[in-house]
Amino acid sequence: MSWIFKPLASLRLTLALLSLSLLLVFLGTMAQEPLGLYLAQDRFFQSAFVDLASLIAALKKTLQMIHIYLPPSTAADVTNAPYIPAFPGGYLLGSMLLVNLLAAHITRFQFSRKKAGIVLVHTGIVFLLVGQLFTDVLSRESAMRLAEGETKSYSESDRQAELAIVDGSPADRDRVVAIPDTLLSTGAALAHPELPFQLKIVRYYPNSFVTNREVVPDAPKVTEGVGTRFMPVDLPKVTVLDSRDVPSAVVEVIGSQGSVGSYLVSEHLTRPQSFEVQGKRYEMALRLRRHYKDFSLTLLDFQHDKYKGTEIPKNFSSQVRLKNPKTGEDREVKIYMNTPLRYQGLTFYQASYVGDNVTILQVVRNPAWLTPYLACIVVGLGLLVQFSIHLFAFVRKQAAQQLTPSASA
Amino acid sequence: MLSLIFQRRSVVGIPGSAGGSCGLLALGAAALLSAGCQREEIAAYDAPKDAPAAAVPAPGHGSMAGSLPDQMPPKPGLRWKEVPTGWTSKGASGMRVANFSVTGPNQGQADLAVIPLPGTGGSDLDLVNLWRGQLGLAAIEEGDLASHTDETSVSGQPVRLFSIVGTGSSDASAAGNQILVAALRNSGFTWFFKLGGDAATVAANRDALKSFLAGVEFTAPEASMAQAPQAVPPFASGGPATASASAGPPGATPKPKWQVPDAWKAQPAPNMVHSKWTVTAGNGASADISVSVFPGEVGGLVPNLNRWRSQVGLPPAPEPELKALQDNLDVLGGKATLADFVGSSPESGNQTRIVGAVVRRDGFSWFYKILGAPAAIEAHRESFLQFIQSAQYTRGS
Repeated sequence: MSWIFKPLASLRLTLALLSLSLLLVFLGTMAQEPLGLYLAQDRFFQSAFVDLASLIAALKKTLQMIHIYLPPSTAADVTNAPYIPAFPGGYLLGSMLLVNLLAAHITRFQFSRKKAGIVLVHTGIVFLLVGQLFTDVLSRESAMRLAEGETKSYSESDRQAELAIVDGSPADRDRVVAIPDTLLSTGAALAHPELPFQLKIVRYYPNSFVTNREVVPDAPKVTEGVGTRFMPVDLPKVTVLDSRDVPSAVVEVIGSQGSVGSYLVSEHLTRPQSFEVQGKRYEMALRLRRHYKDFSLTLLDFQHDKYKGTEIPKNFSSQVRLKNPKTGEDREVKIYMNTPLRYQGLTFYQASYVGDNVTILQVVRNPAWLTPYLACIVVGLGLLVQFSIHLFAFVRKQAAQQLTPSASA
Repeated sequence: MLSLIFQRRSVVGIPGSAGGSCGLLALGAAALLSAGCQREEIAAYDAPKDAPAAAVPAPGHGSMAGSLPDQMPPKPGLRWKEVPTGWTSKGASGMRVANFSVTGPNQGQADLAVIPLPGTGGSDLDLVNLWRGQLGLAAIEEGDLASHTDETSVSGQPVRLFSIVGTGSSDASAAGNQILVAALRNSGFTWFFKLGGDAATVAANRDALKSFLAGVEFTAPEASMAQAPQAVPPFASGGPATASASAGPPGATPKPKWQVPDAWKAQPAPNMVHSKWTVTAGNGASADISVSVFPGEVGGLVPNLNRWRSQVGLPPAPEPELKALQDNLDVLGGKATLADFVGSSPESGNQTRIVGAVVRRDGFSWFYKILGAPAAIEAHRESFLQFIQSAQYTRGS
């Protein structure tokens, strides 16, 4: 087995990986300007390899720093380019560092008390690497927008949508069939055992602008609802931080007797489209993806202070009532800057606001949120132990040296 | 304790067991990655019914409208200082929170529409090319954008005013047209102020547009505006400054309590409509009854009555004639304005009648309307009026 582990455990490999990691962070940061945060994150850090087009975009931006100006790449250039792996990405480098560290332990490391600190330091680094992998895969961010007096038991994804079909016939609840936007594409046919009809996506617009129907050439046919007057037009997808895609779709509902009608659904619309199949009324909406909780939050009061004479926020806080019918909990909580509400594995941060009475809470589910803290403690402890071992050894040695002359004398 | 844990952990130094840990770790990582890469699936679940928002259906009439809340962030309200000469407010309609018809030299016509859309969608270049496409013009490059752009300001914030002239268009009908658009990103929305129409009229109103934009102000969002379109009252109207400023506690859009006649058949309410019914007469004639609610005065009484006139193919009536109708109907707790117009449907050409009432309560405007065949309206006019007169408005979110 040593023929496998030995090259993997090489210190040269460690240095190469760390150097490549530094370079990756630098290039990924440079790429954020032309590509936007989310595309750069995806192409550089959340992939095994960085593709050639993204790498070129980052290099062009880097060259600008030394006043060499080439036509800058755009997000569209990168998303439309063929995928050619050109540089190791975050997933590959992270995994290789982990493997390198473990292989080094397997091949070289012999435990002794003198090296306890190093073991701790390495364990902390392993924690950090594995924890980041967990965070990347398992964490989910969403937002809860609440107006004063409003109650919600769900948060919404900022950048993901869903086509929701809602059967509101039960008196006490809604039955929802939610189709993630990743399954929506022009021509797709969608069915679900709970729906007595099929949905045909006549046209899907991943990012759209809605305008008067008469000015849109070749607008797909819409037989019912607001789409008879308005129609989306395609816009390029956006990847920058302060913008998001607003999808729309034309959807045909096909029952057992044939077409029920075709409808425009869009995040631009404020109301769902409704239709009837087999005597039951359904509502259909393309909306931000919802994440329901077992509990609800009601915004009782929102406060925000600004620095005098400016529009710069000084402090803002949300007084909310948390109600959990399952546990009977009913209590008030104040969420403010740096003091989030942690509940059921979720963290609610005071993130933003609109006007004087609408708060926006960022809702983060990250089962691995403790790992960076633990990793830092373990690494710190390891350094302390290792330093102490050396210190005590040094002190003992010094003491021994001082004793030796006197003994000989 | 920690040191004990890590002493045990230190067995990674022993090859056999370390290999096991490594394998487990790799297995775990692979499982994690595969979990992360799974194709998303359609989910079915029970969800609590959404809390009623601004446009809840009245209990008992079975409308589904409003059972889902809006998913968009609340958008700020909008108001303006003054309407330029030659502009006529046409109130809100569809996605437009404000509409003006604009007249120019030689009876030229143009329209100004104010449309807020969530998110910022595309870049300025994308949007300009979109409108150029509407006029049959070829797309331009980023470098050409500056020659189509003028600087102006909306609500004190600098914005670019884009000009798209139809000259040279492949589409003959667009050749004499021009579009002037300002796009302002504010509170998660992009507000489009789009003046489009006859090129001479648009050009003549360029300065008027700029001064109008300079006087625009965004106000705090209406708390429970989930489905309520924005108020667009001018400062000069004498009405409430904005709904959010005057409508009492935040989130307290009035809820109506009313008696719906049994003969009315509830219908799903479309966008911007609070509740809707259909009625029929013996001869098969039918009419639609709808109720809409908007914060503020929504452009004022006269433009709204003229809007109703246009729905039965009638031209705008002189202002004094319409103002004379003000407060001609007694309703619970005050007065309302009732109008009755007969004309013909712009779509079908059939004789059509509209009876509508505007009720103002607590900073909100309630629009009651019955539109359809004259015979059906005659048969149900009395019950329609009783319905309006009996409505009570209570606050609550």
